[in-house]
Amino acid sequence: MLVWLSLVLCYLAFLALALAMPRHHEQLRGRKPGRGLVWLLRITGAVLLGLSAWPALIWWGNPAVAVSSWLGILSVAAFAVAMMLTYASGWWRTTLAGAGTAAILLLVLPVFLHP
Amino acid sequence: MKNGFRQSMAWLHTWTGLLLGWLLFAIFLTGTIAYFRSEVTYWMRPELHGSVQGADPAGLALARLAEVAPQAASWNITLPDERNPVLALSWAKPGEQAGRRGGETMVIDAATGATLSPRPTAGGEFLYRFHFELYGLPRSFARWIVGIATMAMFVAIISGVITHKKIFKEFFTFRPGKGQRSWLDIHNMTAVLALPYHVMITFSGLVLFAATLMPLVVDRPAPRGPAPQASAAVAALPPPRALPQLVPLAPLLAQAEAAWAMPVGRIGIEKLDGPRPEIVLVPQRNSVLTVQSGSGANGVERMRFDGLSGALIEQTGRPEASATAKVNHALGALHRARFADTALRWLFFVAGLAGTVMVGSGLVLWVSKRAARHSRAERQPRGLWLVERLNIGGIAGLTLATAGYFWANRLIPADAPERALLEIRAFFLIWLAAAVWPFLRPPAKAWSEQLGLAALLLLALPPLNAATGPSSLLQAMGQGNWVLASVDLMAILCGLACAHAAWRARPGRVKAPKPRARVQASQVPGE
Repeated sequence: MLVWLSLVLCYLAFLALALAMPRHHEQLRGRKPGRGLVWLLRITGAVLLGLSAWPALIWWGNPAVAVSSWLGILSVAAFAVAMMLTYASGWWRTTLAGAGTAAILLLVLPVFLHP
Repeated sequence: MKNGFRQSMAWLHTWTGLLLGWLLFAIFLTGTIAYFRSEVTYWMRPELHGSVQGADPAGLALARLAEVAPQAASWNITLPDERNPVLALSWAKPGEQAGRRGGETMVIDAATGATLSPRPTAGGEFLYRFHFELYGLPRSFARWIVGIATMAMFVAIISGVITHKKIFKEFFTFRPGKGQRSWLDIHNMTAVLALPYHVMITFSGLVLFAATLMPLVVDRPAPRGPAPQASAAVAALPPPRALPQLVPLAPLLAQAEAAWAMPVGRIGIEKLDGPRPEIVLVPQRNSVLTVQSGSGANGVERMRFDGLSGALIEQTGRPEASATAKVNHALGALHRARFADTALRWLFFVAGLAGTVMVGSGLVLWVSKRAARHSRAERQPRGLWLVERLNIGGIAGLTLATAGYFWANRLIPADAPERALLEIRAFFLIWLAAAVWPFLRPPAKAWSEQLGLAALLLLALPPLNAATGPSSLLQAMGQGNWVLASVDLMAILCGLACAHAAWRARPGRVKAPKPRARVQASQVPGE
């Protein structure tokens, strides 16, 4: 569960970072982003990337093992964003909603499962 | 120096990559599969597939050992785990050294205790060994070759990062169907997105070769004394005796598992021929990076109990080590990934596949660039002609040979003499044929024929498993035997990737006069 949480957070982070790039922003939303929005997206992406390390740290316990695993998760998530941009860019909002919902569920569910 | 730093780096990247590219592709592909070498070996021994874990494998193992080896001085039990659902026993006579060299071994059904006799197989071990020692060459010579290739890989990574102008701008960019452009995108993407992994695996590989490549800097351990003379002691068998009544294992296992937060992987019963036998517990694997991970799969911690009272005699943790030693251990551990749980193993596997595709696409790119440049020439330059054909044998051919290796495992009779050797020969014969093939056929045809055949073999692997083993893919999934099922499922996935590649590479798909597009039509297999 925690590994998946880390993965969806990474996906959201890279999606935000892709949206912060004018080329992909235009590809997805049909217009160039403003300066303010670019910075907002960059910061969101960076914060989410930072957050995605946290479930990995809990899951793997040992920091060195957790960091190696987290780097692997980064690769997989970045690859997923790149493939979405190439083959399913029309679905980007759906993947955003899906990953967002999954992240919230994965955060909240454990509270109910282990009260 | 050519026209500047970046161009020089591009030149370096191109030629180090080409010179050792095929070897690096083979190292990456076999090394990546080797992350799952015990799973592959398990798949290759269908005699074990019927064994499902029972309630008390340790108790079962003890009962069987008391039956088959009552006179032994020590017993060893390797418990089933998530990578290898098999219960293995070994024992040594008094005076004999237990372990790989001495003693006897036996595999039993983890539920019934029945003796199983798995076929001898080269298994995943062959692919693992091949990725750093190749085959049939003197060991240190082969290690030198692979060490040089590793160094070239490291050079290629660094020069590649410098050469790549738009590392951030094109971070997510893949433009399919655009010929050479697409190959460059695949090459860049698989390199950049898994860059931490590539740097880690290459650098740690180099460090593992340090003793080979820099023999003078290593403090050699003092030469070992003569091996203990076992024969005399073995000859004088002790008179039959009653086996000591050992304490129940379950509470000891629970105690160790609580202390380590890691299941017990191996149980040793020592000094069985003495008055007070001892029980040694070993964790399944290391849970940290900074300890020696050697060639054994288990962790370094030990717990020693009195076999009669169950009292803890000694508990050894991780040995103290200097910072340098810890870094050295950590690099070795990261490379071998024996500490890794299933999730991390999969992540490394995916990153390893990315590395395989990176090397393969780099090789294809070399041809693609030059084919475009010489598209109007009457004749291709000899180098281009050669590389184009070697690429097919090196990339598609190795994929085909690997698929064929799995088939050889099931088609060679289980009781054939020297069967492990036959499996290895089948692998090399297929690879050799695949390497010659492109010299007899037009390249586009050879690409798609070899990839198509590899796809066929991989997609038919689950039916072959069902026909030659006790559990089909569906049965394995039903039993929750995911080790067996995931090898079959991965074969289907790789088969589909090869089929897709073969379809993209089929001759006549792209008009012939545009060599630039013709080369683009080929796809890198092994995804």
